[in-house]
Amino acid sequence: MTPLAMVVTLVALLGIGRTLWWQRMSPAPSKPWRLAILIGLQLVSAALLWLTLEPPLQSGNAGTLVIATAGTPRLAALATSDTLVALPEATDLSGVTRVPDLASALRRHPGATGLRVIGAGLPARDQIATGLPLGFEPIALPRGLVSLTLPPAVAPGAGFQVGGSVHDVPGGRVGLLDPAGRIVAGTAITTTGDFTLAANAGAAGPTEFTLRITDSGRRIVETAIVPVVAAEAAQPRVLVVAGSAGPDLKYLRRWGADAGIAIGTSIAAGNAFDIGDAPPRLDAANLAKLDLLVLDERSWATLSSSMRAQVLAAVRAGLGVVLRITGPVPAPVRQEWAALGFVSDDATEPLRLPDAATTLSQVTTGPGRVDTAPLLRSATGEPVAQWRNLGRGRIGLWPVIDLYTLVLAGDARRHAAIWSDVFATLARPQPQSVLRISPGASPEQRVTLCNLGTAASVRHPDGAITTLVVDAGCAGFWPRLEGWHELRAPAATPFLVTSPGAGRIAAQARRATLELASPGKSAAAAPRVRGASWPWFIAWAAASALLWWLERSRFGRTATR
Amino acid sequence: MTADAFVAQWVRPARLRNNANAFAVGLPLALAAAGLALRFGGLAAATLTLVLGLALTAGIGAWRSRRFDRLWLVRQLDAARPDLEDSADLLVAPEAGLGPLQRLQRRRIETRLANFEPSAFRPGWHTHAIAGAWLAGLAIAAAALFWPAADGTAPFRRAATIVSPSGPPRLIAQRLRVAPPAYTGLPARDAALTARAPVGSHLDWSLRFAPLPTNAALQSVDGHRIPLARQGDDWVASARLDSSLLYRVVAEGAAPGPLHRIDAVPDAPPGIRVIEPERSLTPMAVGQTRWSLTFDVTDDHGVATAALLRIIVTQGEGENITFRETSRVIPGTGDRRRRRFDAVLDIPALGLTAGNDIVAQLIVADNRSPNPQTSRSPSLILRWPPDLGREAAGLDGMVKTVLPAYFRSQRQIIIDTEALIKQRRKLPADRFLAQSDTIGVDQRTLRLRYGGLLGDETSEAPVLPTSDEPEKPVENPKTTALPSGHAADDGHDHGAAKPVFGSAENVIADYGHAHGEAEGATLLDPASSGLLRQAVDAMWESELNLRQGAPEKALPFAYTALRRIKEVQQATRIYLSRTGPELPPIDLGRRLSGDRKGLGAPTLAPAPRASDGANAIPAAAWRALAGPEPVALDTVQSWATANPPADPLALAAAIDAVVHDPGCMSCRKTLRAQLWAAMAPPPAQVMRRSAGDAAGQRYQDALR
Repeated sequence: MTPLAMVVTLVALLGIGRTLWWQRMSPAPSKPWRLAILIGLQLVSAALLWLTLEPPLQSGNAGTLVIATAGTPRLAALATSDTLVALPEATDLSGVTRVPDLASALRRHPGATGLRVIGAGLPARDQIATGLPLGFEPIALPRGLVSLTLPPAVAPGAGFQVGGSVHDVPGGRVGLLDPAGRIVAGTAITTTGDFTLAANAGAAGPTEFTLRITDSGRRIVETAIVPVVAAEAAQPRVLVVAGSAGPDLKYLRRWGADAGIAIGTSIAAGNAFDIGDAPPRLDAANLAKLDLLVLDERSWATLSSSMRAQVLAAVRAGLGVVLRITGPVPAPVRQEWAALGFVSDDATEPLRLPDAATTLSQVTTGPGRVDTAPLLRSATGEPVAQWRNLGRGRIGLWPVIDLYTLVLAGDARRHAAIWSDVFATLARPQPQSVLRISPGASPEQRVTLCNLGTAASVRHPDGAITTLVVDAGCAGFWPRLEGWHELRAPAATPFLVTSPGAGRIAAQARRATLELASPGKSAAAAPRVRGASWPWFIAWAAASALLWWLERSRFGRTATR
Repeated sequence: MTADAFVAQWVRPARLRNNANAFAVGLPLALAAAGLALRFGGLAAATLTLVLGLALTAGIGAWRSRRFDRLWLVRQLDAARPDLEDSADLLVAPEAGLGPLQRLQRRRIETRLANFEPSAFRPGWHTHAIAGAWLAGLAIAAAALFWPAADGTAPFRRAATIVSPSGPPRLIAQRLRVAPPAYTGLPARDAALTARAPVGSHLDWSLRFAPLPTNAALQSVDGHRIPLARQGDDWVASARLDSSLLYRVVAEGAAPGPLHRIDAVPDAPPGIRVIEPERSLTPMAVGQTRWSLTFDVTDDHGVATAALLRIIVTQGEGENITFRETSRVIPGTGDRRRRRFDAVLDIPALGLTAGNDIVAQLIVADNRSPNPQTSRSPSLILRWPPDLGREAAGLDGMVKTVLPAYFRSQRQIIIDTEALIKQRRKLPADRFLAQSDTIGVDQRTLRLRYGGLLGDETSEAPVLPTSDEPEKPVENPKTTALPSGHAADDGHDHGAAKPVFGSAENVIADYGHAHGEAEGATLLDPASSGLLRQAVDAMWESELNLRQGAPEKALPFAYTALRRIKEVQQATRIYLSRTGPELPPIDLGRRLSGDRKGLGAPTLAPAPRASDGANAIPAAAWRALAGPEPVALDTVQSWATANPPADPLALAAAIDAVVHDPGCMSCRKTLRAQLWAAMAPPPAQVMRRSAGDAAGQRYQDALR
């Protein structure tokens, strides 16, 4: 029983009680039939009042409601014979009922048995499950960028990738410009329109790269900002145990020295001699201090079985291991690695990396376990190196023999970016959780911030501070301005709020509306709607008037004693 | 009233109107002419033109007024008033000469004229001409006064520089005179304060301020200061442009002005293109006595009128080659910036002999002054091939036929042999034998070549037919290939190889053998020497069979020879001298003492690296510039001086803009872009992955 029903019942009971009390105390009590009518009318009145306030539900019969969204053509809007309402985004329609949002439209048009969306699609505000069958007739996407996948936070100087999709720019090009306005990556637009561009981040700090789409006549179709946040991270502690010295190792260590990564080295020189830092003891305590261990087939072969077990146990606890192949792999080592999930061969084959002039060589690797993931892909998209999870740690097989030739060919940045990517993938994870900020923040749209502590705030570009309400580690934030915001939790993390172009808005609305659309769903499941309350109100007023008249009248009373 | 007075009274309105018409048309035209004169001749010319124009107008008006005379008046009166009864001439005639009847008539009509005004006869305004003249005149005068000058500036600038002498000094007029160095031949020109000029140009600034400042200077962003000297109302300075300049005009009491940039364009050295000969190495044609050379030289300002042609003639052959160097000056033709230098060398006069070269090189300077820049062309070589036959007219019998040492390789011999075997059925027997013999000759030549490496006798000196010369001792009988059945001491003369091939008469000599010369042998290691000997032996067998017309039998030997030659080629080794490590000297004082004090830890790990590395200063400034807070930029400027970027002036200008207007966000954006371009890309660091939450870790722990 709802509180309203309880109140109404209570009032009715009080009224009945008062009537009975008045009957006893009155000098001229009612006759029994009059008393019965009075009590009965009070019950009826209470019931009618209840029905006025809570009229019974009716099944809807208002037909399909047509929602005009952004970009709705006039002709399509005028051709419809159903009830038509227009959302605020449908700007070029006149003489159409306007509604502020979809919820208002449903409230104003109760009993709709279905929805039909025309135009670009429902905006993010209205992407709600209404329970009604929803049909969608999308218009063509606008020309230009329709989707953009932004890179996550990267390390300074490390490589990052930007992906996206362009609609209806045949023969055009996509170029990525660095903050100084120089083109750092570019590709021709394919027939599918999808593209992926790779570039390197710069010094630590928030950076704005620019994506520029030009058509076949080199005219600019659209530009979009690609925010890249380069953040300093604690560099991993790395130990390289090598069975022999070699140029690949030399350039790996050179990159480590440049990038500030402490790479301990131990190179076997034969006869139990060891070149490098203090000879490593691969016991549990030392392995727990390491983030990444780089072995090759010769140093693996020299490990005793107990040491191998210790290394694998350390991997289960989080250590990362790179297994480099530098030459022919002995049969026992190959069997052990196959047991770990990596299959290799003795044959070498040429390897071409995307957009690289140098041809490298790699040891042929076979398909390993199904749970391996690619670590590097060749120009044709074939996975070259693989890694897999082992407990909390990761193990990867690195079959590229001569990656150092990239440096000799003048492509040291690419060499560094590849090693950086390998180390970042495999090294021991950092214990503290990383803040998550939903990508592609735009003004007046919700930004989800997660993995927050108890207190967090956001600094706006104009200097204002908004304190966030953190619930279960997450918070929602609605930015007002465009520009770099700063999440302080309490360490500062920048994120960019920028308006996406018309193409991306339209494509997002289209995608989300298509997910909501349910063309096969029948109208029988339409929800029942609240019926009209005015007939009940009139009946209640009539009953109350009759009751009032009967109470006031002398009719049916006994004579005064 | 006398007749003359009457005429004067009646004609005056017409004449006045006529003069007014003349001036109404003439005045605007005179003004236009005066405006043009003011534009091109100055104020005096304008005044003179105006006076002359007005005088001309007055003259025209007077000339045109002559028609309003007595006769005109009579006609007008008669035409206008019929009641004068065609007697108007009585009014203008002298009264004395009139008859009584005429006097009567005159009195009658005089009364009729009483209410008639003389102004009725004046002509109308020439409205069309007046309007046209004023329109044209005003248009011409306005154009003369306000049409921009050819350099785009408004005319009469000086007239506009009237300012109130109060407030801070303002730059109201400016002029930069750029006088490029005389050698460039470029005219001096007036430029804006931002300009491009050749290095060495003389710059003259002439600036005018209002009100006059007490002191002014040109302040360069690198701290250099060029003081401005006062000269009348102007402030002047001059300087020589040695390097690009970024400066601003500063005046005492005034806010610093915008930056100006003068780019110094360095002089380029001359570029030389060889037109003739087409290749750098030209073989001399038979009978050629002249060698012509043509060069095309371009320069940005001018090429020197004469160039030096350096000629080197080689003399001698083998290792005994001497060089004779001469040079000659050759004049150029063509215009200043593109000259053509032609030279014709007389080959015999230079003393070129067979087997030698003439090397020619053009050295040309541009006209930079001082220190002309010189360029050298590539060396052009004329080679007299060493094996040209001598002219041998009338010297039959003494002619020594010299042929080039053409010979076929062992592989080519095999190919020829196999081709011959395939053609065996098609060819007649004698042709077949002849071709097989020809291949045998080739094989022999090759055998002699390789034999020479082993010290075999290859001398072409004629062998004396008699044995009256003492017999040479056999030095190295083991290394001499003798055909089967022969020995070095078998008591007969084996004959000498006659190396002139192509003549098959001396069969015994051809199929004999040669005695070796150990001194002539190339120094080979014993293994290679043995291999080579086997090759030569196989060649001998191959030759034997080829010459007998049995190429099938020769083929296996030919293949053997080829294999041996390849083995010898692969047997070569390269030896390098050993260099030892340069170890520090041993400290004998604590040797074997176990004292480890002062020794470093044996580590290869690099020293900890500063954040951002070499980019620390610009990266910090780049980050700070993203916000609105003030940033100290002098360290950035000194960093940029030590690590100059591609365009140092642009970076300096961007820094200067931010220093002068710290709140300018667009200036900060420009500076950030410049800094980004100036920073070296940092080495890629490693991003660390996240461990995930507790549930994720439990999942990972459960992984097998």
